[in-house]
Amino acid sequence: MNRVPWLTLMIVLPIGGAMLLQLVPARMTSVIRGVTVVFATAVTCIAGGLLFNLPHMAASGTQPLSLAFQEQRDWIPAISASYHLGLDGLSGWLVMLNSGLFLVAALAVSRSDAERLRRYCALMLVSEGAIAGTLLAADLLLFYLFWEGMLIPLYFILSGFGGPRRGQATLKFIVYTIAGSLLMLVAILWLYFASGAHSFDLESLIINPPPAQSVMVIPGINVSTFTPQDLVFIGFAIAFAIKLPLVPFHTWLPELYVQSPATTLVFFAGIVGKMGAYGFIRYGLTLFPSSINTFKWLFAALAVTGIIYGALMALSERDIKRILAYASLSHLGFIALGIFTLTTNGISGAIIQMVNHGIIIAALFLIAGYIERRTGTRDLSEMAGLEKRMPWLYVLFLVATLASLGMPGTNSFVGEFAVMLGAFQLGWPLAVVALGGTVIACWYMLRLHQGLMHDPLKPATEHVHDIRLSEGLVLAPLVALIILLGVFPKPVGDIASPAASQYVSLASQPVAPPSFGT
Amino acid sequence: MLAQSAPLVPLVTPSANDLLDLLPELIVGFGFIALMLLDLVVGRQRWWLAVAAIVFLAAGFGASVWGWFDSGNGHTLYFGSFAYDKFSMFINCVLLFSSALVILISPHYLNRRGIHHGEYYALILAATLGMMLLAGAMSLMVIFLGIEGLSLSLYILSGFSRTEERSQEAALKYLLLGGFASGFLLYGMALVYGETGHTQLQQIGAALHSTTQADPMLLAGVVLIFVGFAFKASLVPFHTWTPDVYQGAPTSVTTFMSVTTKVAAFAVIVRVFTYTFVSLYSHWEVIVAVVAIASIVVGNVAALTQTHVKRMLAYSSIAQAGYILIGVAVGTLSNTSSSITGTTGVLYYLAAYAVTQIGAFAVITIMAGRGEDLDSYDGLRGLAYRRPFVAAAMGLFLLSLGGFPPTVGFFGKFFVFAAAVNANLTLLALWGIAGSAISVFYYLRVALLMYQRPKDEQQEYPWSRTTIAGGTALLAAAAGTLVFGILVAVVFNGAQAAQNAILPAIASTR
Amino acid sequence: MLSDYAPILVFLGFVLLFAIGVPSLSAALGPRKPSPAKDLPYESGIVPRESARRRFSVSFYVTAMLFIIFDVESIFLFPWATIVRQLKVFGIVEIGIFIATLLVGLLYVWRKGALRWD
Repeated sequence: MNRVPWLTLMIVLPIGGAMLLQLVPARMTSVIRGVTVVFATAVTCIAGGLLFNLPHMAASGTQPLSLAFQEQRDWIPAISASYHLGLDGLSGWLVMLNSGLFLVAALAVSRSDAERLRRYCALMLVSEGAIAGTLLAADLLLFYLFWEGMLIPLYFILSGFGGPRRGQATLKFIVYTIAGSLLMLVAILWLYFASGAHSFDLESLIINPPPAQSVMVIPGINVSTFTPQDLVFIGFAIAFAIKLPLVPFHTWLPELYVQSPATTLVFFAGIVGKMGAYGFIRYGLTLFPSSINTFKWLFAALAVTGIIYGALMALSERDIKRILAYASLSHLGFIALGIFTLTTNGISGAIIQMVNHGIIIAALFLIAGYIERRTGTRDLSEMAGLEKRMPWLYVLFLVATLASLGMPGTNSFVGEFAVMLGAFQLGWPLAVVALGGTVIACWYMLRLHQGLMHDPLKPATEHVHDIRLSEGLVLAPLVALIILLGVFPKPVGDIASPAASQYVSLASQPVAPPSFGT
Repeated sequence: MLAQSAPLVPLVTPSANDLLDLLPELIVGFGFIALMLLDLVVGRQRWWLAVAAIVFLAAGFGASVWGWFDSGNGHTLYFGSFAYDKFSMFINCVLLFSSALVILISPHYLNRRGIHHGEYYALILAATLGMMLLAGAMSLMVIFLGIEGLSLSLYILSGFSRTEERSQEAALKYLLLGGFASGFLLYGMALVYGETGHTQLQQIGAALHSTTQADPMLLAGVVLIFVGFAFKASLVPFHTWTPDVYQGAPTSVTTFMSVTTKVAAFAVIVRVFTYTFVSLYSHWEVIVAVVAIASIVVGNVAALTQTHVKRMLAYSSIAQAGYILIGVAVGTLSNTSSSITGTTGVLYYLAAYAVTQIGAFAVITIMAGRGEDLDSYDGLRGLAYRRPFVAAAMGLFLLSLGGFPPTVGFFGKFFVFAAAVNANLTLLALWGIAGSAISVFYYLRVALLMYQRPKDEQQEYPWSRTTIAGGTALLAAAAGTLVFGILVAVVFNGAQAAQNAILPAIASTR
Repeated sequence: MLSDYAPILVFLGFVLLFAIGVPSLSAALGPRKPSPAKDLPYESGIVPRESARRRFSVSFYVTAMLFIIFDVESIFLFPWATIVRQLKVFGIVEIGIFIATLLVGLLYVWRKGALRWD
């Protein structure tokens, strides 16, 4: 097979780049940016190459996940944890999204804070490596390592750069996430000990699941609760739901998005927000087929609640970043809904939508950042008529807006359509309510767009200039992708669908019926 | 079983092998005496003492490594009163490595504080010797000897800054409460001796195994012994001295005692409780578990409100001791054939804790001002702008203390929690996890402060320079924190081998 | 299990009872006739000439402690002497090390000036 450890390279290259940056004097901002862009480009090229070759890598067949480009080495042999990486249709797209968004962020990074540019770039590259590791790991311990390790650079980025209240917002996010991931750690440990395999390897845990255990009954009052597997699944689910975020766990999101600069949001909203969804598919569906079937209604309901709640909040806000944050919450609800339909349509829709939403939200937050920098405000009511001052931005923004509300011809139409198909298969009421969410999406996105662009100019928007060429060149590829993937969605679907059907079959594999009672 | 009036036993003298197997302890003991004499001749060239101390510690380390390979499955020396096994060698290595790092950061710090006296090095070696005795003790007598050996040296060391009131207060507090703890310990030992008729752990274990019902006096003895150890390990509710002593003592002494005392105390706790009192597990399990939970909760919650790094680290070390105690509370339980047990968890955690904690304190010694410690949170602000590498290292140590991967601290917690889950004590692991989640607050708060822009009036903050020795210590600690967090297997295999060879072996008591 | 500790509880109860009971009993029952003469440090009737809290030279303490250290040394020597023949060479070597260690201590305090009176 392939001798070059491509997957390791995708993790190590950015981190190595971050170390290399430490050798560059902090004054030489152009060199720092250059190095960052070079490394981000290199990783993007690797990710692209792997993704292109992925359909040709025939699955070996014996393994449940059909991972390609696998690398496996002993790590802690005594507890059979291994350094096991692998790529499939799901992680392939997300790794591509990861490297692409970090490249965009590297290009868009502002030079205004020259003193700390080096630190920002280095932290960004470390984040990229850690996220790639999370996506590629096929060993639960290794996955956890990257999952929580990713928080370190993110903490320093989020708390070091942005608005005045970023410290509070970041701490909330970090403590939320840590609490969730520590629960997941206990769940991982339970799986390890309960499974006959005594291994952290994802595939051997799928092959050797813990024996089905009976429902636990609370002694005395005789109330049946859940099986131990269900509780362990909840441990995972809370960690993923916080990161996604699903609705009761979303409170960290709006303030953090508002406080963060646009460059951070490109990758933070774009890829970090997808990690929870990724976790649900990669680990929830494969390791807990019976539990996820027990709970799918609950989570689908939460997802739909998120769609509506996010949409309504977006409608009621005036702060443009807050609107986008809630819009993002609403769209993440669609992704979650797609996952919990447990249908091939829904999940491939979710995978496609993850990529699409990553692109769209990156573009929207960049635009919001450009506008904020020029007008000095984020308040919708203080701005109007930007179309006259910023014609180029107007066009790009229009495409992104239309994509965000799921207009046919843009990329997100395809994803949302597939999710809706899945939702109808699960139960039509869910789909109908979710459709209501898209209607409100039209409302708040058009309200945002019209409010900013049309009508006579206001004082804050009187003297703004259009975006510079360099800024346009950052935005243009994103917008081009929105259109390209909208009219020619086949490549995404071709890679996402097999992966989706594989995960669906794992989630619906016949499990021994739980024995009720004690 | 009561001791019978023994007939006059024929005198047996220990063999030369006994002496040879005691080599690490002998080297350090000899070093202690040699340093006292050396102090009389070096005059003001006191850095020679540091060099000599490191040589002795390194020789002891070498002897311990040799002992690790030589001891095989382990045997006892001096008629069963001292252990020659991989477990004690593992602890010895951690102790000697930690002591050497402390010596590295000491001369500069002591000079800066104006308390550079020659006795310091001799006392550090004396305390290390006491801890090594504790690590290998197989008899209640040797345990007491070790505890007193380390305590007496530390009483003096914590009051080493003779003109400073806080240091004096620390020494007095430590002395008084330490005396109490020794009393408890001795009383407990007396009760256990009275009930079993033995002072040697192996025989105590065998005697306990043959009894079916535990006598209340015996249990009282066990509990009192635990109190004595818990005081040394600063576990709640015997922790009250910790913050004051840690803050009052010179920072290099705090570094030393916060790390090595805990390592030695936990070594003896594991040997005595997990392996000697194994048949009483059902009796002491609850007490140990409750103390562990209390330490985690109190340590973490109290650390939240601190404004000085030394004090914060003191409270955090209480919490860390609580996590380690989870591994003790697990005992020898294991539901599966997995190699993750309480003892391997404890050993891994101790090694992890040692490198991390030393590193964190080393940073404070590096920042020491003239005649005072500059360890307030405000003083740390902007450290990254003036000392990027020191700040990066401190960040690493804080992350490791908070249990973030990929640092060694994460795997310490991981193995201890895993052992708890393996023993069906998942609830205990959840307590530990709740504590870790809280601890993230105060560790990250300090980490962030270092990366904030310094205030204007701080431009002239009198931080000292990093010396070569201090830098070496910092580098070694940082490398250990990071490398052992990635190459986990090295330390883990060692901990596993140490656990497998520990005396008294459970099988032999049957 | 917990009932095993019951005797300790009973014991503690008795301790408390005695600790509080006896003093309060004597306070309640005993007659009290205070007079200035009874408050004097010496009940023999000798009137103290000055305050008892005089400051001693620290050398007294140092000398006293050094005395105890070397005094304890001899306590170890006595039992050793009774079996020195049976211990043979080992006994000689052991006590040699012991005394040599103490000698180092003596050397140390000497060089540090702890034996000088002024």
